[in-house]
Amino acid sequence: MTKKVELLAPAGDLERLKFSLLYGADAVYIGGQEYSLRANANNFSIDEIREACTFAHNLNKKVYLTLNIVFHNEDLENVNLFIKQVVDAGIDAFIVSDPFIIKYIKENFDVEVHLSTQGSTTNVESVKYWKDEGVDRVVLAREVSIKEIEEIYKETGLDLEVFIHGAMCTFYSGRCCLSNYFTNRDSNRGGCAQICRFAFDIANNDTKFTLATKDLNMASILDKLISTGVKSLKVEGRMRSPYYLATVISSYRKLIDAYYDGSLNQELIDFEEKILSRVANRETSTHYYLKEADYNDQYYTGRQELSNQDFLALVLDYDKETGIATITERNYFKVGDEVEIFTPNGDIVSFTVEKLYDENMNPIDVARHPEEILKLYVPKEVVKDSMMRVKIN
Amino acid sequence: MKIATVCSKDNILEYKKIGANAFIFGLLNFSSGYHNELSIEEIKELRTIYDGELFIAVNKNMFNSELEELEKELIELDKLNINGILFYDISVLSLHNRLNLKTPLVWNQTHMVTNYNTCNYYYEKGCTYGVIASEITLDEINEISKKTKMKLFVNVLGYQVMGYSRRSLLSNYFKSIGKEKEKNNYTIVNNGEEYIVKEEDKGNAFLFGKPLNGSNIIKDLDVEYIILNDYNFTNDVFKSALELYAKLVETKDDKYALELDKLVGDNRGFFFTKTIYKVKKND
Repeated sequence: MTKKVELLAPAGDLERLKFSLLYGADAVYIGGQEYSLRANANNFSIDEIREACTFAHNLNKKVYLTLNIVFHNEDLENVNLFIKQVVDAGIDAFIVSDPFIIKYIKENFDVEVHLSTQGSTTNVESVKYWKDEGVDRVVLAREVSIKEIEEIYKETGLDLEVFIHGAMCTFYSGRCCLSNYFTNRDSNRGGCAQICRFAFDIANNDTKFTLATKDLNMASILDKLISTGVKSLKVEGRMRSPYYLATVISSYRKLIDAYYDGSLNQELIDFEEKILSRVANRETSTHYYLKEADYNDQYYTGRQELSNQDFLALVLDYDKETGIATITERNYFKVGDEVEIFTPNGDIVSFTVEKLYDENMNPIDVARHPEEILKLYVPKEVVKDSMMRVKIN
Repeated sequence: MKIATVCSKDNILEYKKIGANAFIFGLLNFSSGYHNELSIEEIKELRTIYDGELFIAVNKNMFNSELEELEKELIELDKLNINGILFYDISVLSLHNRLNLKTPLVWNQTHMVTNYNTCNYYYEKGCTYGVIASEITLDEINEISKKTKMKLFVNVLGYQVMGYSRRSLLSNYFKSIGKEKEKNNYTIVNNGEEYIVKEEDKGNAFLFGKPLNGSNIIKDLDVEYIILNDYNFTNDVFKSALELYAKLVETKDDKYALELDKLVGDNRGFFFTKTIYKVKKND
């Protein structure tokens, strides 16, 4: 049986990790309290890393830890101890960018090392170098094309990981310190303030100069990407919401599974693209994968990022006898609304809200208080951790 | 301490007389962020009039289609008695070692040369020199210097690159507003602060709008080379600055530092400013 490509999801905390894995990710990448490029995400303590690994391993899935800051002298002192603690907690791989770390881990521990995209690896020769250094996987730069990925895999045979979805950097990863100069926050140590989203006055033009890029979305050409031989498909966004992660991971899970069982077709791609486009409300592109990124791959008048209110409720429980689901509300909805519940195993239950109750089973017409516990009738069994959203036609 | 200068080849002899000890040029089609690129043939010609210290930057991000030509260029460079090749992309290090080239290597991963452990790693891999990132403090630089055998370069004068994109940001912008791009570098402004966007064939460099001037660190700086880059300076101002830096290096007399501050401003960059990266405490 063909081994499927890995679907790799981000997880900013334990809640996100669990949703990513339940909704179909094969592995997740997380950050510790130190040394990761999302210094301002909640991130994981050593105890939480241990809990994350146990949760993932029980599902036969993996957890990778980002250790990919560009180190300063002051960061060196305790990193060896931190690595040992993380290995002891059960981590499956480290994602690193500073090469002295690669050497240290390989010489002292039996654990995989993945080279971060921060290394901006873009060619065969560089991948050969890292392979010789003992790197188990290279996360390629987002500036490479599908053709180049194919060449790199053919020439090196090394495990390759590529991004398939989420926000893009305007600059080469690692080759950007705009945050340092604008805000004194070190972008290569997790302090990126997303200066590439700023607008600038230029040459007496009324229209501001902007650098922002559209998001990446590879749903439409996932088959081409998988056929290059890549081993892992990565979704960006450790600070994204559980709803975003569940939606995106669920969509790509279906597309990947369909690729391998021969059922991938345009209808499915179109449907999943519609779901993916709604969840972030941003324009997307395939950027460098098919051609040189150009004029069409950027925003020019400020990024249109509307608040998404599709996520209506999270399912806490379901009573098979009564058909009543206990939910916690996220966004306004009311009796008569067309909704759907999507489940961790990929099912979608569509229905009209007919019977809605408060926590004590008193009938109500409207759900208007986020986090409120409510009950409603669902015509088909759904499981805990399923999510209710507006119906997507 | 020697002065390495990034300048046009037309100024090399004059600047040498004023006090420059070494020169850095970009290699045509294989460098990024350099306004003074030279072809192999031009470097050969330069070698007929200047046989002093010469460093060549081969510092762009490389792609598969460029590797064959890159290999040829590295082999040619190796015949020209170059003092060092500045590189960003690991393919240059890999090819250099695989081809057993003799030209010394200069690790120049712009913002990543920030600690002594990684300097030592690249030193063991054959990199004689490193160009320190412009985003660390003087204390950090001197600590690195003490704890590595790598010979270090530090930028002390010039407009510092903050980022490099493969995208044609200026061309794309002007296309979006239906106007012609009239030049390849523009000053842009945000919150009253100026920045420079410079478009090249291979992408866009994004530079801080005030020149770095490390005049007041020279007496305490413990490295082999300082770098002075003439990009965006008038010839007269740069010549004066070079002359003052030469005197400052030789005498360590503060009066030259003060004169430099009057001439090019006193933006010290990160020499005395530590960056932060956590803006909220973890729970």
